Amino acid sequence: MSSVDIVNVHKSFGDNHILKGIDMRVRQGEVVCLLGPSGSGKSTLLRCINGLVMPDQGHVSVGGTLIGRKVQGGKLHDLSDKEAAGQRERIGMVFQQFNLFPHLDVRDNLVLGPRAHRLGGKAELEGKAHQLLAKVGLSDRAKAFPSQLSGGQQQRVAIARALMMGPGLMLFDEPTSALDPELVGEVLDTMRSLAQEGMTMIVVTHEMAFARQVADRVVFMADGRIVEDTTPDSFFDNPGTERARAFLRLA
Amino acid sequence: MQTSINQPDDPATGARMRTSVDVDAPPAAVPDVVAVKRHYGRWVAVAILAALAVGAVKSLAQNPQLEWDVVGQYLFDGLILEGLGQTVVLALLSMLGATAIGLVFGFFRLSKNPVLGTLGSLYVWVFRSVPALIQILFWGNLALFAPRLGVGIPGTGWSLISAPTNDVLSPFAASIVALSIANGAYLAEIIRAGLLSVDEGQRLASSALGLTWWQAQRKVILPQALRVMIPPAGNQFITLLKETSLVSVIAGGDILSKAENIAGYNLRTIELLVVAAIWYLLVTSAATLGQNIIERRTARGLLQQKRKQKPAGAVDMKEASL
Ligand SMILES: Nc1ncnc2c1ncn2[C@@H]1O[C@H](COP(=O)(O)OP(=O)(O)OP(=O)(O)O)[C@@H](O)[C@H]1O
Ligand SMILES: [Mg+2]
Repeated sequence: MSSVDIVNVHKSFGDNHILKGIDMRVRQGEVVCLLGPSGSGKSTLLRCINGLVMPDQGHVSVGGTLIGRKVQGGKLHDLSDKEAAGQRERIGMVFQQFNLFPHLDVRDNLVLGPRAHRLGGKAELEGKAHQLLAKVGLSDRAKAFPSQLSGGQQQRVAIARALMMGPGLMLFDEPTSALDPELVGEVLDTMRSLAQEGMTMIVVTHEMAFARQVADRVVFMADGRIVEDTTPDSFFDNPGTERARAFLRLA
Repeated sequence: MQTSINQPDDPATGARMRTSVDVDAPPAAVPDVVAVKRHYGRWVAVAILAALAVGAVKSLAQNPQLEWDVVGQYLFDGLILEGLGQTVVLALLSMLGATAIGLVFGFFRLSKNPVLGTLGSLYVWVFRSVPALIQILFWGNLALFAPRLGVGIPGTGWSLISAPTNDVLSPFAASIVALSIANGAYLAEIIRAGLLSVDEGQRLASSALGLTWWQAQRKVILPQALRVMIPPAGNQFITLLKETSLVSVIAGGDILSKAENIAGYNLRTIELLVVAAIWYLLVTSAATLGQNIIERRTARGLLQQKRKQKPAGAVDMKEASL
């Protein structure tokens, strides 16, 4: 399992300054819920952690490894496509829209990543896929295509897919926001059991009950800055800022 | 309780229709049988078209200028079949070349790198704008202004290999080069559109799984783009199949070149054009059939993509095995 260090991360898209100096540290095995109003930069920050978005300034390191960059002559230089891809092997990510590969069945969705990294033979990886599908309660759906699954099932497949490479860190970007209310529970249960196993997790979510129960810490962002970084109880019962109080009133 | 629903009077019978629904009333007798639709208009159209077709076939069949036994005699002529083979090989190789070129320039056009992007746009602009016939004539007559072709460093006089243009670039080779380059511009656009049709989330998910750019294209993006690309690419191939007839201007050895050669000494121009036309019709039909088969095979798993989030269990597994 990996710790995460985010140091003075800035990011702009064109003239839009989205992240304005983020500092944040996540210890090994910790579950951090990232909350904040829409457009505050939560997804952008999450994507900086696995290098899908590269900071304009500052850096992120995971398990002590600098993400997407290397130091040369006192400056940061981008890694090659291949080196950056290799780093993502140990960081799992789950998206709001699931993003399963629609042309592949469930088992092939799971096996694709590790095959590309040559992490094992076909039979071995398929065995592992079946184990993980059993873990998320979908052993009988290995041969189904994503479009034949419910949203909750698709998201559980996406979680299993992210677990295939044995990640030390899992990033979740609003994993239940696209789900019908009655399907939210099954996905949160899967995440809860992952947290209990000691997985380091950073979860962007609007599920306040989940944040309160499962998170070790709540980080509240607004306008590209971290406004509060505290325990769930203190955040929900006794928010320290007016921004957080306004956010909680609406939630 | 009474619910009132206003309905127009029936003008045919003059009877007043029920204007209210009495929930407690016994249901009226409604027949169980739905009338079969009779498409009279269609039958009339078919009859007219059939009459026109019979007329056209009759005038062709009975035209004294067109001797069908001559057509039959040349349909399987050795030279014609040889030309047919050349046409098919020419079309297949050119399609292969055009696809390779199209892949490169299609990706270029989507590249964030402005140099590659501009290069892609320029390629498409030039080779889509100049008529294929001019491009064929150009490559066929390359020897006129580039008598030798070779690999070397320009201006130094040093060269690795060099050979007379006409030895390297036979009319057949020139035809393949010209058709590949010209059609490559169209394929680049088809491939670009296909790549654009794939959801951005697929790229994100591929990257997040640690696939390199090329692994993501090969395993995730292109297979999905293919589904969108196949109908226009099939269309382009059929256009290309017929476009191969243009190479007869540089004696490219295709079926039309052969038909013209034969007509040159037996003067049966119309009959030989009909022979060529019949073969084009057959080859194009085969290509269309092939396209349908490929389309069905690439639809695997994606057919139901539109019907999102179907609950488990309500699924017909036969769909998956398509
Ligand atoms: N690739 C991009 N190009 C341009 N602008 C972007 C890009 N990604 C994000 N943005 C902009 O950055 C801002 C913050 O986006 P981000 O997705 O990080 O917010 P968020 O906190 O995740 O919001 P939400 O709760 O709606 O998901 C938005 O205004 C968005 O339009
Ligand atoms: Mg977001």
